[in-house]
Amino acid sequence: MHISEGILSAPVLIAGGGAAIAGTALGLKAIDYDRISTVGILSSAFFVASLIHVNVGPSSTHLVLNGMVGLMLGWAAFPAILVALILQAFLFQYGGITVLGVNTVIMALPAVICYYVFSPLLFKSYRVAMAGAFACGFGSVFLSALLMGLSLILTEENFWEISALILAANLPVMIIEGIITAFCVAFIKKVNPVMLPGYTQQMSGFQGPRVPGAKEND
Amino acid sequence: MMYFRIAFCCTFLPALVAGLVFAPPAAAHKVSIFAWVEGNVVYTQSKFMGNRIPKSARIEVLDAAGKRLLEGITDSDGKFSFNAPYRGDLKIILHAGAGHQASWNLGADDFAVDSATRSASDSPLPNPDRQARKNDQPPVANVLTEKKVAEIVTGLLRKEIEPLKEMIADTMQTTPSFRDVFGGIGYIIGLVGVAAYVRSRRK
Repeated sequence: MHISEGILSAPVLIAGGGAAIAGTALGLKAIDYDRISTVGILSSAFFVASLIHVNVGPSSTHLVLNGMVGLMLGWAAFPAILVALILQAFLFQYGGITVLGVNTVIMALPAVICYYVFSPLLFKSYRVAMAGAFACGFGSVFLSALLMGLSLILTEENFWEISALILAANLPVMIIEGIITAFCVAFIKKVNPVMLPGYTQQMSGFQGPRVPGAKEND
Repeated sequence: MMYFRIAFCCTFLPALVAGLVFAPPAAAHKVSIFAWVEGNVVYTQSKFMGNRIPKSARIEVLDAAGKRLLEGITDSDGKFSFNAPYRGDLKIILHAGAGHQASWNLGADDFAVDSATRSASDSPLPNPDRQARKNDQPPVANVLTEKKVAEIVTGLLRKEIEPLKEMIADTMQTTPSFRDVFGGIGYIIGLVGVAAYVRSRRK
């Protein structure tokens, strides 16, 4: 999912950087005091997830977890993913500093889109919620692969071929992320549904998830 | 605090479980290329992190000015070799597809050993300072010309150095260590702390 340094042309890099800055600004605004730790945790999860490799078929890809990050954070996925990508670039040499903006958009934008599309489904019937969660995990990686193909459009000769290749390579990841996201959502719904986006708006009109009684301890 | 714990359980644990199920601790994804010179031939070895091999990936060779000199495709071992067009700065770029790219620079230094062999003369008594030494030997000993000696020595050296070069090629493919992973998580926790501090001051 990470585009290496030195592949993309300047206009793509600049556009990606601009979009990443805008998204991050929106995301930072969306983080209120109580959600800071959640953002940090999900950022760490995203940071580590890239080390988990799915070796299916000829290609080797890794988990992205951007569906889960998006679902839990909404716009705050942008700063969370940006921070994780900076650390990945420095510590793992994944991606790179000049491509940071593009990589952030590739992974964070689908997260935000999936948040808007799938979070209303989470408190419907059990089946719909599970299907929605799976589709969220699956769809976010799918969209990321598409965005990656798009950003390579100016440098690679054949857009459709490249996109099909990226999509095919990431298919196992999409399925696994779908399952992981469904598993996580089922677990959170059981343990602490307040954390999920649909719950607060529906049940009480809270801005952002809160845990009763946990405020002072944090 | 409970909030924190739940978030931890929801995100980390599945990730860790998935990690145990799907992959050894080695990582792939980052791609790298390593090149070395033997004689007039440049050998390259390309690898994804975690010892996966980019097969039939495109390799481009550029000169110092960025002009493309030649192009090739890696074999099933990720290797590709070519005759150096000249003995100087070369930039070798690996295009492993789907946004993966790596490069390796060869300088004039990399060709140095072989240049020494080349500059050695073919005549048995090449330059005057050596002539003095060689003068007390019978002329028969001169069957070993300077060039031949140089060739033998470089040949032996090459044999000795070969495994070392492969070893270096392997160490170039660094996989993230636990130190990197936990360092990164530490940074994030630190940032959370900073953010919490800033926000709490603002209240």
